[in-house]
Amino acid sequence: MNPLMKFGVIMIIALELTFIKSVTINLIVIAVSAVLYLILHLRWRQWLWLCLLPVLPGLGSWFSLMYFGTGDHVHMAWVMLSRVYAYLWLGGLFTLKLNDERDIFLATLEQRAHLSPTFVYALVGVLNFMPAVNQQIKTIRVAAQMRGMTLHIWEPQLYFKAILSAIRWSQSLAEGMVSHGFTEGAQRTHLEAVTIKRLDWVIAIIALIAFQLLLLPHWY
Amino acid sequence: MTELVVQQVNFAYNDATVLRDVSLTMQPGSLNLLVGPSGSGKSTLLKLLAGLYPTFSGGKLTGQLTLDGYEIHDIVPFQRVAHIGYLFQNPTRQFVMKTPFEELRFSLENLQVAPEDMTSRIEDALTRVGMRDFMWHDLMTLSGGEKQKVALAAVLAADSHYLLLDEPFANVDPTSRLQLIQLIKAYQQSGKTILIADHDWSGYTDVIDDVFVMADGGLHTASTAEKTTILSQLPTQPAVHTTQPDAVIGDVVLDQVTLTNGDRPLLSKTSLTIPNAKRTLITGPNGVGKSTLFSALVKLYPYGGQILYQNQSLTKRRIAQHVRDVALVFQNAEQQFVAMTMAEELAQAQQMSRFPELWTSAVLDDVLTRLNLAHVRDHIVYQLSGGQQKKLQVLLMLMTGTPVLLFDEPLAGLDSVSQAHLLAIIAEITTQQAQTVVMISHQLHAVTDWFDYHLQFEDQALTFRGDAS
Repeated sequence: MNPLMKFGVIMIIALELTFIKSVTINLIVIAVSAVLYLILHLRWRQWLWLCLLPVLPGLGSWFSLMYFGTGDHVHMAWVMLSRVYAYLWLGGLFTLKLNDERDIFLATLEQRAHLSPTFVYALVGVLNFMPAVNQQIKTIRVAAQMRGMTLHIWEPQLYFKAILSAIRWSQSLAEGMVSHGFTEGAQRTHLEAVTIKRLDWVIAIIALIAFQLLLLPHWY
Repeated sequence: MTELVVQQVNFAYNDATVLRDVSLTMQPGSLNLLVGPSGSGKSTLLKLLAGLYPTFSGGKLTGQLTLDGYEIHDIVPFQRVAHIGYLFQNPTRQFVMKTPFEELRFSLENLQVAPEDMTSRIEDALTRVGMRDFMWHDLMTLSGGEKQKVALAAVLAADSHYLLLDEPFANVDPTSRLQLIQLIKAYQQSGKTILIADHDWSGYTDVIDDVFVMADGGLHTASTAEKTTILSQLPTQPAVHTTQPDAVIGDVVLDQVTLTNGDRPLLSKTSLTIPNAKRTLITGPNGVGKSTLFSALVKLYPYGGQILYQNQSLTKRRIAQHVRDVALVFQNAEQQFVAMTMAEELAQAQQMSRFPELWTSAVLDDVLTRLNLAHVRDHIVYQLSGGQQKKLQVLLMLMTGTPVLLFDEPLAGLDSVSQAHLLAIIAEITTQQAQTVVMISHQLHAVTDWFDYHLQFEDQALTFRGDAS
């Protein structure tokens, strides 16, 4: 499924979840996500993240509602806990695949959603630069150590150098883009035109309708 | 044929004049050389011609700088690039995308090339520069020279009438350099006009039509006599005179060391000792792993086997402690600055020096004058020209006085006078401070008699070259 479509469906369902106070619905969302993850073949490390990441915010809201809440607070405590998991597992369907689908996602944003190419390619540049950031910080520290200065992580000098290199880099990115003919607001051609398959639309509509049907019995 | 007009161009930042009354006429279909000392304004002129300045620099531009009657910097980039191609001095950060193929695709999409022609144009351009096999490699893992070839491919694919190159071979080994020159020559023969700013014109002396000389922001066309003098200044095949080391004593020892870049092997099991208090040159083709070897020696890059310093394994040495004994003079000078102005940097280095008694104010004044840096002492280090930054960085690292100093291309981008001064100062000071010098350099004509030993890095091996001693 096209990642932008997936993103849209997930956003709509997540938005609806915000207004639904039902543990059952949340559990169903988690269960459906789990089935999809099984099909996607996650690595064990990703499973671990999915289980551990929501623990802190989930238990945080559970405890505060359970012990300090008023009104229907016991029910709400369970709703909040399950909701945090539902959000994360639902969102994971998009984010965990994003590494593989990044290029097509950005291309869809540019070609189908008509987002400004300046924004899209600046994002591409930044994402390509990310792996270099850690190495850069390390290099900055070592380069200063060679001059007899140790830059600790609380020292503003380190951040000054990091920001400076980020500014330099963004300038050269802009110059590089322009020198390769990039023009703000101009037409571009596309080697591969992104099309959203009809099947994607069908799956998206079925998913959304199924979710609405789930809400019909008003069991929440 | 499009017409590029440069008449009485002046350019200044605030009150600092960079270009003074510059006029330039190039014969259609010619190959031209732009020469001049570091910091004389060559890069600025090229970036103005490419339309990148003043948009990206600020500053005030007056005079006529037009393409077919239109102000160059007013032409929208996708139309301008179709007429004027530009190759950056620093190959590392001019790319937007992850791989060479994507980068060229990005460029051709900007130029609104029809999708059906795109793949063949990309493959053709990458084949011409010999980078076809690297089409899907991560650009970040390519060497400086390989990146420069990809950048050239992007320009070739755009097929512009004018090609501007700013020190395109500064980080390129002699073999790749000759290949690139052949490519540029072939491009010229298809009717294009080319302007190259370079300090080292060995290898293309016979194909240059006009030489433009830049000095203090002014430009003139060299007369026939002047051109002959300039072009004859360099031997075409520099021979480096060194001897074979015997019974080497050294603190830095490689024991069965291996290096890889991704899945590409760079160095297969190598054992050797770096001679103490001597000057050793490392040469080898682009991408062979010279800079990577230096990174490994300062613990910034993983390696196999053992690297020892004074019989202690690097794995057992904390990086902060290690780099006080083995320091690297980075290719990018800015990385090594720790203060704002040159005066502050010098004060810091004086304070941190292992030999504070050597670095009196009088000595410092003398060295700064010899390096032609005395007049910019109060300037912000980040606003110095590339050449000035490099000279300052080398000086600061010499002042620190680390026992082993690794220099990664310290001469790239410097004019021959600056190179000679810098080498003399490095030799003087490292002898006084009994330092071990290891240097990567492609500027062989400048160092023919400067080194004691010569390590050739080729075919995944490091071998000492030179006559028997």
